[in-house]
Order: sequence, then structure tokens, then C-alpha cells
Amino acid sequence: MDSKLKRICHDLKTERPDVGRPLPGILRLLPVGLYLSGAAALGCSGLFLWQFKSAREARDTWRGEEAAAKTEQARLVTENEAISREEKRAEEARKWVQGSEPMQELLVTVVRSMRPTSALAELGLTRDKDDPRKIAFTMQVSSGGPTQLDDTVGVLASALNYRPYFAQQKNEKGGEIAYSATLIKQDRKDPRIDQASAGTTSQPSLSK
Amino acid sequence: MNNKHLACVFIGLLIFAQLYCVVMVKSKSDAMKSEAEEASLAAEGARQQVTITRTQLTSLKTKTEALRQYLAVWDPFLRKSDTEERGQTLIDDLIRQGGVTQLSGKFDPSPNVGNTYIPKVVKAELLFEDDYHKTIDWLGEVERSLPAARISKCRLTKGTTSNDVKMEMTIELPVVDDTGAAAPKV
Repeated sequence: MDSKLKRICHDLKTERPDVGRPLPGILRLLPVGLYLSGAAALGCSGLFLWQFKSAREARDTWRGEEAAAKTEQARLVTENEAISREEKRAEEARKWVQGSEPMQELLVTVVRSMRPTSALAELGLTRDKDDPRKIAFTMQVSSGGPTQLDDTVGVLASALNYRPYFAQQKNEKGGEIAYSATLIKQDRKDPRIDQASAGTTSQPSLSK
Repeated sequence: MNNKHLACVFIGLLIFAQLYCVVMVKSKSDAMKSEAEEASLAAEGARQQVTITRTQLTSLKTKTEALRQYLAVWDPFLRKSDTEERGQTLIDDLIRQGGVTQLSGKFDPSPNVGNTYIPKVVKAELLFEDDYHKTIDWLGEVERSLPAARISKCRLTKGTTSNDVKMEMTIELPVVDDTGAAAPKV
């Protein structure tokens, strides 16, 4: 049977001599190398792809956190600017209010300081344009003399804490005395700020 | 070169292509890792910046709390005369209610230089002649009703009769700038 098959095969394909030299034996490892490298490539690529995906997820998470932090930062900066702006407005409001101390009590104090024998001919209070806390005070006493003047200035200092600066005094005809000075309130600290900080935000009875 | 050699070269190329693909995937993975690292650093920096800004804000809030409350208390009074017409009406109403005899009156808008919150004022130059007590009481009433008003000038002289005084005064009513921030919150 075998010999019959050999014969048939021999009929189909006759023995032929090798035309070239056979390949070196080491090259038989090439297919093995191909399979091994294919498997290794698949494994490594899978691992690296997994690492790639993990890194991408981490990157997206960090970027998300950064974006959130930047949004928060922008909000904080806006709030910071608003507070600074409000602080500036408050400073300017305070400047205005400090230069708007009531005049009535000043006038009344001066008038009440007059003795029955003294007479006041003229009384003037003018705020300084640049620094309204400074008040140009002018007074003309027709009778009463320097003693009356001392009394009035003394009461202004003791009752209202106004101190006279650059005082000038002129003795005029008929015993009249013209007095002028710049009045500055000594209490620089506005108690209303403390009042406000203590939470007294109800009616600013303002002790004005 | 025969077919066997060609087959060997082909297989070698296949192996090389596989290795090349692996190297490419690895380099992409490394690049992504590097990006993730950078993003992490950037996020950390942004977070630190937020912490610093938040601390600054808290400090600023604490530091300016009293002043801001002061503004919150005063703001309604400063806004009482929000327009020139309103300021004039307020003064006119007070004169009518007080019943003091007014000899003359002039209202003018005037700039308030150096103050951005109150850039304008309504300046009222008024002249009265009436009983001393009535006039002084009226002045007190102005200061009570309009606590933010500034009496920039007040001059008292003798009136025509013994109890009368002449009072020449200038009242400045603040006109608050509304283009800035809204009214402060208490």
C-alpha cells in the first residue's frame, strides 16, 4: 500500500534537487520569535493602554479640580474686590460724616457760655473746604471783654472737646472784641465706628 | 534571495512592527502620565492659591467689618438725598414744617472733589430771620432729620427785633454715586 502511494506521489511530483543552500538552523526560531513577540506585544500594549487610560482619567480629574479651583479663585477675587470697594466707600462715607459734625450744639454752647452782662454781636462757623473737620470760628463780643472770651473758649474745650488753633483777637472800638480761631475736635476716633462694630446697627441715633 | 529568505525578512518585519507598536503605545502612555503629573501640579498650585486668597479674604473681612458696618448704618442716611431735586425737596419740607422765616434761598449742585462715593452735593445757601429759639431749634431739626447733611457755614447776627437773629447758612446734602457697588449688606 505504501509503495503504491509513493509511486502515485512520485508520479505527481518528482524528486527535485535543491537549487539554493538551506537556511541556517537559527532562523527556525523566527516563527517562534514571531509568536512570542506577538504575545508580548499584546500583553505590553494592554498594560500600557491600561496605564494610558488611568493616566488620562487622573489628568481629567486633576484638570477638573484645577478648573473648580480657578472658578473658586475667581469668585474669591471678585468678593475680595467687592469688599475692598466697599471699604473704600466706607472710608469716604466716614470722611464725609466726620466732616459733618453737628453745628447746633456748638452754637448753643457758645451762646449759653455768655454771661448775662455780655453781649454777642456776631457768631460765625465755617468749615474748611479741604478738611471739613476744621471749623473757622469767628465771634464778635460787644461787651464782656476778654474774660468772656476765655470762658467761651474754655467751655468749647471742656464741653465739646474743641480746641482753638491759630487764634487771633482784635480789640475794636467801644470795647468790642473780634475773635477768630480754627476749631478742631480732639476726639479723632469716631465712637460710632465702635458702636457699629459692637453690632449696634439699629437706628444711627448718630449722636449728631 | 529565495522565497525562504523573503519569508524570513517578512517575519522579521512583522516582529519589528509589533515592537514598534508597543514602543508607540508606551510613549503615548508616558506622555499621558506626564500630562497627568502636570495637571496634578497645576491643580495643587490652584488649590494653594485658593487657600491664600481665602485667607486674605477672611482677613480683609475681619479687618474691615467695623468700617463696613459703619457704612451699612450710614448708607441709608447718605442716600436720603439721592438726587438734586430730592435734596431740595427735603430742605423745603423742613423749612415749611419749621415755619422759620426764610429771606432767601439758593440751591446749586456742586462737585465734591476727592470723594468718589459722594461725587456731588446739593448746596443750599439759605438766609433766615426769626426768633432765636425757633431758628436754633430748626437748625437742630435739620441735623436730626438729615444726619448726613453737612452744615458747611453758619453765621448768626442780630436780627431786626431784640429776640430775632439772622442766620445765614450753607447746607450740603450728599448725592451718592450709584454707579458703583450696590448698597452694602449689614
